[in-house]
Amino acid sequence: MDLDERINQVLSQCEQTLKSISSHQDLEDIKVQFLGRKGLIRDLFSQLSQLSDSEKKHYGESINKLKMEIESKISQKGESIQSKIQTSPENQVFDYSLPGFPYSIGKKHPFTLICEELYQIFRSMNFMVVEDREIEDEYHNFDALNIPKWHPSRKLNDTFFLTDGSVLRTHTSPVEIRTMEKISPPIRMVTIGGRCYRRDASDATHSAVFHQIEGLVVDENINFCHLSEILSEMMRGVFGKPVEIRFVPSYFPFVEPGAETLISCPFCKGDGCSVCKNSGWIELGGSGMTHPQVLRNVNIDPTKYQGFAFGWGVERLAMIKYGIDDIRLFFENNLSFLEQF
Amino acid sequence: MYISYAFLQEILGDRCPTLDELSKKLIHIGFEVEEMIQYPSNQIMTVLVQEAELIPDTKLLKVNITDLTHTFQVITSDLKIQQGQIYAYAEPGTEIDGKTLQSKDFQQYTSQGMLLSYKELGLPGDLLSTSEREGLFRLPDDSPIGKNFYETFWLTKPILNVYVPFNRPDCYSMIGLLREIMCAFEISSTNLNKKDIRWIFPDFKEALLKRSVSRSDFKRIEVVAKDACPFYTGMIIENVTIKPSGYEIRKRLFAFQMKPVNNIVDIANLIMIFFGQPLHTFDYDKIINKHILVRYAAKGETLDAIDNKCYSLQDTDLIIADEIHPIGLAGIIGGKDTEIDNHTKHIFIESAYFNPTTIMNTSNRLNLVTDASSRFGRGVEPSQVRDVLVQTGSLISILSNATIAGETYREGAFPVIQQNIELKLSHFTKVTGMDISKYSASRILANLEIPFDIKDQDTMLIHVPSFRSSDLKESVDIIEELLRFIGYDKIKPTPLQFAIHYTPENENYTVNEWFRNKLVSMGFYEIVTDSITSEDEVKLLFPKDLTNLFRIDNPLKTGFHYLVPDKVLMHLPVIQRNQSRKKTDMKLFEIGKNYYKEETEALFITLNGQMHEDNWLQKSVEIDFYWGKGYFEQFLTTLGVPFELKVCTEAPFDKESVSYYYQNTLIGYFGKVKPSLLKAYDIDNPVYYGTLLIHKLQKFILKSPVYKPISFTQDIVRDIAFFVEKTVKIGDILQSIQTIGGDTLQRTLVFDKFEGDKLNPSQKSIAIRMYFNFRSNISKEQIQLKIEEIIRHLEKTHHIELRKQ
Repeated sequence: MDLDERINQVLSQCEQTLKSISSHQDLEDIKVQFLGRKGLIRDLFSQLSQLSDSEKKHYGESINKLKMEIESKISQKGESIQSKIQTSPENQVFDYSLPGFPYSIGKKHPFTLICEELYQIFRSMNFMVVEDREIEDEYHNFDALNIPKWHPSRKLNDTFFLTDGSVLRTHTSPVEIRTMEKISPPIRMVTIGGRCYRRDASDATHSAVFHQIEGLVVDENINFCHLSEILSEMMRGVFGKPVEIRFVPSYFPFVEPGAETLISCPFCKGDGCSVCKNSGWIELGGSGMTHPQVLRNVNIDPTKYQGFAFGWGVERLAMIKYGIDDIRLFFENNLSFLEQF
Repeated sequence: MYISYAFLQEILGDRCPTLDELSKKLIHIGFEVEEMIQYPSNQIMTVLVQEAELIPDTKLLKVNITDLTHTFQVITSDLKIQQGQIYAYAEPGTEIDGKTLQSKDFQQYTSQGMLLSYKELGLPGDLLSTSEREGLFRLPDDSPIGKNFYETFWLTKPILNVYVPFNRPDCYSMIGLLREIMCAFEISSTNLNKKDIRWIFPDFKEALLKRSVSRSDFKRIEVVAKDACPFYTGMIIENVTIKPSGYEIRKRLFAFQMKPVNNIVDIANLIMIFFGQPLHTFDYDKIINKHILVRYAAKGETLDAIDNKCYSLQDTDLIIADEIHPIGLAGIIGGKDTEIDNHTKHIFIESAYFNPTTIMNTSNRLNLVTDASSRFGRGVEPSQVRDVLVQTGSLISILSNATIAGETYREGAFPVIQQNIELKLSHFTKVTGMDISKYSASRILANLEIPFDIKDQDTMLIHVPSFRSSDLKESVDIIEELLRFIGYDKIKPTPLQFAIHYTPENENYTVNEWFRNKLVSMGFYEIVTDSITSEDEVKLLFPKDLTNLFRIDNPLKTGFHYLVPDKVLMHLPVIQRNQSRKKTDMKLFEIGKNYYKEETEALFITLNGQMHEDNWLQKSVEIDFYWGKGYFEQFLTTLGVPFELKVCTEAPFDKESVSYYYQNTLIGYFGKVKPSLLKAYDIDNPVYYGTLLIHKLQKFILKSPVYKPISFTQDIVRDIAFFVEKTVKIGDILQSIQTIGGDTLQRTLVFDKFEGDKLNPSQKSIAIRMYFNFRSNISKEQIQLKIEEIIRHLEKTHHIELRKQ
């Protein structure tokens, strides 16, 4: 057998032997068998002394190459044995605490959360939910609502006017007008989260863009005490507990009598806290009995029908409910804010 | 309006409610107490200067002062102090600005305490005259001596800042507010003459008045614009001495938070506060030709006003003019040219009734709101116009040692507004849900000085007094008055009785909710963005033509003229802001409106960063066009919308974009936002953005599902892999497969796509999995035949080369 053949034979012998073993001990034996002092490689090297110089060089390189290959195969086998041992069922330790896949669960905006609640509340009270345009004409935003031409809310300071003469609605009350123009009494409607615009410089409690919830009931025997009932039910729905409603007189041209509406603080039961500024009461917005002139403007006979209405800021409600102290957070969309809801 | 509690006590005596009762009641009758102003109340004494002497070789004065019992010596650097003047004095031991005052030695002299400046007294600078703010605070020369400073000037009791509703011009005066307070506390008005001028000056005596004959140089008052000025009165006072107001006036200016000007203007201002009638005083000698004209301005006329601004006038602005030029903007502001100064000798006082609409229009147009315009603009009490003028003239003549020259001039007549309202008590019950007795109603109306007759058991006829003519117009207005004083807190919840019927859902709302729920469950965050944007930003999308956009004429912020034509302009700043806070992966959506040609509600989706975080299970994947597109397609497929794809020509995208069509109508688009747009918002990694006109899909969402019998046998899954030219659209291949597969082919999935070195450069390798539903009436062989048909068709139509297995 010449040396070339012998080298190939040693290599294939090594490969065969490696295939058959599965423990570190067997691997050590193979190391000794092939690479040891009396091993097969050393044996091959010892045969070089009988060869010519040129053959010595040639076979020396071949044997060295073989040695490196065997070393590499043994090392690979070692890793494979180690890995098999580690992954073998008896060596597996199940860790139930290792985090699972970090799926991302989305979040609804807090504004939506409160709108969804309001929607459910008013659906449960059999109200029709309506929406309408944000770009309004002056008639529906002001005139039909009995707001005189000289009223300060109609000033350039307070209302955004578009080049074509229309306005960005300053409240959701024009939806009342448009509904009454379409439907005859009895009417029981609500607009939830209608976008409104006022030319207010933005600060912690003001934003030029904001949303309102607007309610209107028109029927033959509707009075102020009924308004109180609806508002108190709405608040019970939002805060999940009975809340007292209180009115103080206030002037809005489209309601008479008109009121500013307060609720008893749902957080401190009237003892005083930071939410109610220690007063026990929180101001929420305007309400009152629909002005007869507003009914006349939509051809509803005020001697037969009466109505009540309210229009409150949705952000304000959400701020109270969730303890948010700055209205600007609603429109900044900071993920650190959104992920809390 | 400011109400000084000390003043109220002075007027009402022992009938005055406590401060707590007062502030609570004011709110309950509709006058919100916006602020309660409280001054410090240290032991500060008013003292008279007996002697003031310069200390040699210094810039200090040695001043001897007295409280009329003791004499003290103080050293001061305010060199204007003179004998006979009165100042506020703090003794050693008094706390000033948190420090205890000590006696101090200057050379051989000792300063026993100090005289105080306005800051040391804790007075607000904006309510003081210039001279009062310079050096030590000098009190009027007739101030009481040896008294507590704060008590003397009514500053120990709080001043209430009360919000007066817009429809209550009568309460822009002390008499109006007092009427409300007295009604609320049921204080009888007997022994209280609310028109008594001694409210302002207690020492007023008719006998002190000096009168002379009319001035021969006065031409006349001529009212040209009678519609805007039905009644104009005026009075001339001769030989006035212009000086700071005395103690009684100064005290009242403090109480009503008015800034002192001089003894003439101060009285006019106080009269306005007390009676609600604004007055204007002109320097008589500066009125050219002594001819007063009340007319509309001519176009192009201007007025240099006392606020040092020049106003350009229009022909709808009512002005007061002399024969040459405007000298005042009627009911709003006076002119600089005729302003009273220290040299004024004779004055002309104006008291008038101006049409509220005229005043309000001009005030709105010029954005100029003054104490006068806010009163005239709401309507003043017409019947007192002349009386107030007479009283003012009398007071000025006494306090400035002057003479009333002749008669009170008048033009026109005050408008008499006679209105009766029939009130039915049953109407009160119908509106409020509460009963009211005739006795209660009568009592409240009487306390509010609203006359009435009782017609029958249920009916009262209300005679609206002129001071309430602007807000009491019909029965409900009277009902509100009664309710205010019965108490809004008496309104208690009462259940409504409704007919039971089905009210349909709001379909828009249902659609929005469907998408919201799906998106949130897919890991999206909902955002809510503004609708107003700047011209610079809209030009990023519409560089040339802005005609289809909605433009705001009066933006709040300079340049913010437009309603947002595409929400991408609102979403990119959200990405940028969050990136700057080190938030990198964003899947955002909004259901909101674009304003382009019309208001359009739609769903907007914005994606940036990675699909999920790098984690031990899976390395992260950068969001790209196809990851994002998948959302749109899954929605449309799930809903069963038969949509078509087209090349997108919408503005915010680069090459990678697509439009979705349903029945040839655009229903949405999606794509990679073009780099130039991202650059404008400092975003340097890709952003994908799209919109879906969800309300065009309404019928797909609202339709009720219809059950199809399910198959109880296994699906058959077959894969085909092929090479095809890169120009062939995979969508077309899938459509061909579906067409041939028909109902039996449930769905297809592209599970591999490869282009690269080993392939022909013009080709791509595609692998498609087909899911066949194996129904009882279709055999496996038939499906095999279908697959063969599909392959033949693809080979023929799209020239695919099947890959060898």
